[in-house]
Amino acid sequence: MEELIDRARRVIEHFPLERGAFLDVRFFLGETTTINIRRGVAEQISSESKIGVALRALIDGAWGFSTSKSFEEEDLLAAMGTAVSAARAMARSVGEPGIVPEEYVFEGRAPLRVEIDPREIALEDKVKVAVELEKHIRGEGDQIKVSTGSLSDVVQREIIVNSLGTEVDVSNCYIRVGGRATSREGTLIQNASDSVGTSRGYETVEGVDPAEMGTRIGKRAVALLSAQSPPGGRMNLIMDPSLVGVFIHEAFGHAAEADGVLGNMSVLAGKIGKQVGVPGITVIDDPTIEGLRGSFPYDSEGTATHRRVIVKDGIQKEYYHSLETAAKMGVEPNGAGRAMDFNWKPIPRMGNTYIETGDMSFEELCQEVKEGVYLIKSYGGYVNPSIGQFFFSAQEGRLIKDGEVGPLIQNVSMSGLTLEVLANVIGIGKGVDMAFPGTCGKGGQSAPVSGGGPHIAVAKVVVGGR
Amino acid sequence: MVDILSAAKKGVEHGVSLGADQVEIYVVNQSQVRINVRKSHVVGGDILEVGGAGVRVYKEKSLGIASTTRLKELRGAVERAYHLARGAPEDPYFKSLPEPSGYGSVEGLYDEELKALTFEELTEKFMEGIEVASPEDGFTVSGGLTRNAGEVAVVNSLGVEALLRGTTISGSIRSKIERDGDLAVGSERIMGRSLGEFNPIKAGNKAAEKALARLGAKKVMTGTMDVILDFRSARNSIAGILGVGVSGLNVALGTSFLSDKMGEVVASLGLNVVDDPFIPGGMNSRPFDDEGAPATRLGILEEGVLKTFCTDSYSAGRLGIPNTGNATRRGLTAKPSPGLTNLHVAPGDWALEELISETEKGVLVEDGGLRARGASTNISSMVDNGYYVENGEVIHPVKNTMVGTTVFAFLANIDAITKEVLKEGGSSSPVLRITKVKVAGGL
Repeated sequence: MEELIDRARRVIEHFPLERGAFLDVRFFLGETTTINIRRGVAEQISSESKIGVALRALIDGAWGFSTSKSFEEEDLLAAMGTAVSAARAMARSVGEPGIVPEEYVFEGRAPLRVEIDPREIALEDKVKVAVELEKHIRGEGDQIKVSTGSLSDVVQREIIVNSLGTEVDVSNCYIRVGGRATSREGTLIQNASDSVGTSRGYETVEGVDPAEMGTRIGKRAVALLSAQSPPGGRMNLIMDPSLVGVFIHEAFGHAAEADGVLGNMSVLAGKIGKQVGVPGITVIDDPTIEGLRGSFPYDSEGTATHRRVIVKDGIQKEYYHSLETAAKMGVEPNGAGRAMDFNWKPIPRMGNTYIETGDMSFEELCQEVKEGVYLIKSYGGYVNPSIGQFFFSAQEGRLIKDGEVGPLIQNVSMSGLTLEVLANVIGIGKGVDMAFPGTCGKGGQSAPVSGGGPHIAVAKVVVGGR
Repeated sequence: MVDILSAAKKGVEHGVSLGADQVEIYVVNQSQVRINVRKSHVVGGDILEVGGAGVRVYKEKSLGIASTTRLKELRGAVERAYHLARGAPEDPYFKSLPEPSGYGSVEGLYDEELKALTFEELTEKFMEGIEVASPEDGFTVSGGLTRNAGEVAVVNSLGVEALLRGTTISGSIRSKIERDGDLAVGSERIMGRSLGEFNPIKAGNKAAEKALARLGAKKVMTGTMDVILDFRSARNSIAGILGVGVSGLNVALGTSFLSDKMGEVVASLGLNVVDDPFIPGGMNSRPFDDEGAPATRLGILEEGVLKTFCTDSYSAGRLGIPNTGNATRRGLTAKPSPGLTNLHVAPGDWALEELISETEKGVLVEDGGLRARGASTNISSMVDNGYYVENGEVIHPVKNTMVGTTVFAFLANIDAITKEVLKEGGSSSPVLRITKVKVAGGL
């Protein structure tokens, strides 16, 4: 692959650059295997190959972008020529010129960090895991109408070369095993799901007991059929670590992405050094934690990642940066420029986002909440960072009465305001569990992420029940 | 331009020669231009070729799927799919991919003028919309625009050979206003298939107008009240809810809330809903579906009575009912599943003004929609943009507001449908009012 680095270097050097101009070439090689078994039948057994090159040019303050599916030098030269002309065409309409920080140059080789390469596992063995998982979901009774067992492994390699001297060759593996169940009783239909997702190798799958996971998902889906309707209104709640993961991602993480901040499309613009939450609340994003789903040693611009302190003791400390946003804000780039594949440019994204541990026991949190709901297992969410209004969803919950956990309730969603919600935290539990292995969507691009924290109690959250 | 039909045919032949029982190749080849705008100025532009090929191979009722972004490597993808099919468990419900058939014609899917617009011309025109989206001090405008021009081909070993050319222009302009410590955002979409429909100035004006109207948002009290869905929210809600309910796949799996309701009244007020893939220039219009089966116009609800499900080849075969040609792909590697195209909700007899003036208490949802998550029958949605209505008047914009109901209550409690409809992108919808909905507010 050193040959590709040399080829990219020749392509870059072919274009004479004025000061401030910037070019980069990113080779992308991705292979994905997906297995979905639904009710004993192979719903999807697939193999995806994504191979191509992303080429960016920053000329006279404007960005141009193009791609090549071929790795041949003449095709790369042509694609870079297109990116350069796109940038030139845009340059006269640019407002604040684009810049990149010249002092950060990265060199690195990060091969796959796996014990067992999933590509070396026979298809039959992978299928067996999904079959077993699905069978145990279905085994929980006739009320289970749909049961799905899935396994997917993604192996991606990015070779990034830029005109500042960066040369990075990084491989990542994302693997996920999980199940989904849809149960039905008369007209009532409920869903339950769970998954384990990591940036490790096939050893992840070997660490999962598919029978146990399947049984657990099936039991939950059946139990939800006799659960109460969720209450609606403004109430206090406790979130489990999985909900905390999606909550902090939607409530806060997206608004802290520096592209939105710079575009004045985030309510967290101008908040560095300011109080945004109760003292005691600390939000970290650390893509360097080994093995988590949102971990990666270099981002798609070749920047080495490091631990980011987004909020420290209630004070906003840091945003998520690409090279450009870091240069514009005069800070060190923190490796958040992620791209889904070669068809997309890197944009500031999260990795592994979590709330730091507190010191309250679960019982103490319940006492603090007194009347409300305990929300369990995330079911996704979204946010509009420009007005700071977010939505997140739980697969199930339990009523809390007199400070005690009570009966099961069905899936329910919540809405909150970014600038209020961290100020309304009334209790932080003990221990951090990265219980939310997710896939985040932004601007048409998806990225593997994770989230978590301790149990958290929040006051006055709007719950959309009946 | 690459001859994608020939490439697909060769790939199918290769699959058959390997020993496959049925082979299908789906190829997308598009030229794409994207323009990004931040703080009222261009940040950059992208010029690229997107697409690739998706392969499905059946061997003794076992399916293997493979995709590649490089058409040159199609043979390899066919071999990967064949290998997977050999190792995959059987699907006893699989009957057959579609047989060849004639297609109806759909006008207005491709516009040479739109395709011919240069990068500079597109930018210049888009920037006119960006400019008007900031009518006074205090506005911040961002936006994005994508133009696609290209072809889609579907070929299978039974003889299906379908090729469709198309152009689209899509994007949005977001206008944010900050005034006296308050802020609000208005966003308006751009969509169309021809140059004539590309009207960024209209979108820019609309975005700014919405932002101004949304200033002063307040929280509301929790209570049971009416929910009024504006044109787009009504269309999105009905498309989302019925899309899950009438999907032949969900019916076959037993997870459709409408699975045992064929021929029954499932919605109040004689709601009439049609799905029409033949609307000239519709964003989702197409003569054939993503498996090359002929598309059909579906009368889904007639006077509130459920008349049909929508199917693709797999669900039709599994249910033993006709294939309605609704196969929809979410990417090259995904197996198709049934989906709706251009939804038309028929108008009712209320004047919009009358509907509002006769609402005692409610929330008017704008540019949004209510929907259940997954196959769940529970609806629990945030009102992204909306207004509080009291005593027949729109009082103020709302924030931090949730709506909770069920798909059954939603359909059963529609008590007013306007005669005005919004036609957009090939779909159309009136405004709907749903009674007795639990609205949760932040007060």
